Amino acid sequence: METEAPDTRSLLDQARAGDAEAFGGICRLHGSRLLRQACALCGDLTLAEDLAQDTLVEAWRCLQRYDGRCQFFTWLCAILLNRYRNVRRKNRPWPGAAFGGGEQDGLGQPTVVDHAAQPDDAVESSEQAALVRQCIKTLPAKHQQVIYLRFYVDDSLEGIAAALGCSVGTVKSRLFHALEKLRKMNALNAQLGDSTKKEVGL
Amino acid sequence: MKPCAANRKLMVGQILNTLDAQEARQLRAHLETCEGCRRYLAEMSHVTERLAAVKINPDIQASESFHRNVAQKLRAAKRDSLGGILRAYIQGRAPHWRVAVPVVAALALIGVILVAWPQPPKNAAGRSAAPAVTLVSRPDNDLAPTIANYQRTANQSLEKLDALLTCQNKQASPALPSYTAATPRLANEPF
Repeated sequence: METEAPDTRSLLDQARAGDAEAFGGICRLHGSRLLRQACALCGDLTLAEDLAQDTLVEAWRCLQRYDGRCQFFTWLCAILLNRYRNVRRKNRPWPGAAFGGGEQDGLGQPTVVDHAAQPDDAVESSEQAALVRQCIKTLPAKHQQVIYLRFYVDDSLEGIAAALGCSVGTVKSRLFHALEKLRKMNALNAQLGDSTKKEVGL
Repeated sequence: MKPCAANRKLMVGQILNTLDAQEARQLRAHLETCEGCRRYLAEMSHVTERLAAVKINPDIQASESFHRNVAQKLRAAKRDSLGGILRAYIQGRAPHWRVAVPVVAALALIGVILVAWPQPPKNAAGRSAAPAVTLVSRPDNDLAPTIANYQRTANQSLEKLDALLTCQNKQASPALPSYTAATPRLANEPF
């Protein structure tokens, strides 16, 4: 059983009893953090706002399904991931559209990035973040979930297992395979050169 | 040099901080002697470092309009909860184009085949040449040709009686005699 903050716990109890005001309090408590997670997930603030709002509405609809075995916020993030996957699936471009190339936004649609408006460091870090997001997106959904919940939501393996409704062993195994796949991606390992060789003593 | 297969999960465990003290000690001892595993651990560490490139921006705060929109959506969800649930269900179940396109193509192909399939020839009246199925049930032709059977059939239906008589007439009618050169001789034979 995960320890939930007392204020969240009491609000959750009231919300489960049908108190919409209490759920509004939960939204106030977790709204900003959820929005930050959504933004990290898709890289687009407008889309992130929609995702976070829809996640909270979805959470209200199926609040009875939350059994308290994981942090409420992790449970919210699991909903967020599912919603994001649905949005991406709905907006997935036809294969012919992929020939356009260029950078893509959170929905996989091409976007124009104004690099001139940003300092060099910021440009580089945003490009790296976009690259990492692209690499994660190529993973199977179950692998994306564990990577996101472990590395960005920073929850424990037990909490992730409870949020996803699977065992800790399954979470470990998915994390292992997800990291293996990421390791084999050339795009992600492009800068793994001399620094690694020095590190391992070659 | 490849990493030892038995130690790869241990190394991922180290990265995820899920090893107990004994496992960590064993792995450290192994890494001192195994170059392949050292490289593997470095690569995995690099991957997790790269994952950190996606940063959670602490400056992002949910605005008042964000909370207003949430409240609006919650009210809307409450107002048409049944309709909303149904809509969400249908939207959620709507097939993706990767499924929908082949299904539509298959249905279109079936439609084309049905339309282009050669139809049986029609007679002048526009009706199919195939024999029409009669709605009147056939009478039992095995009935013995007795008055009682005819009365019973007539009590059921006059049409059945008519059909029965027709059938029995066809069955009972003897083949017409064929007149050959031998036929006149029959008349000369003694009774």
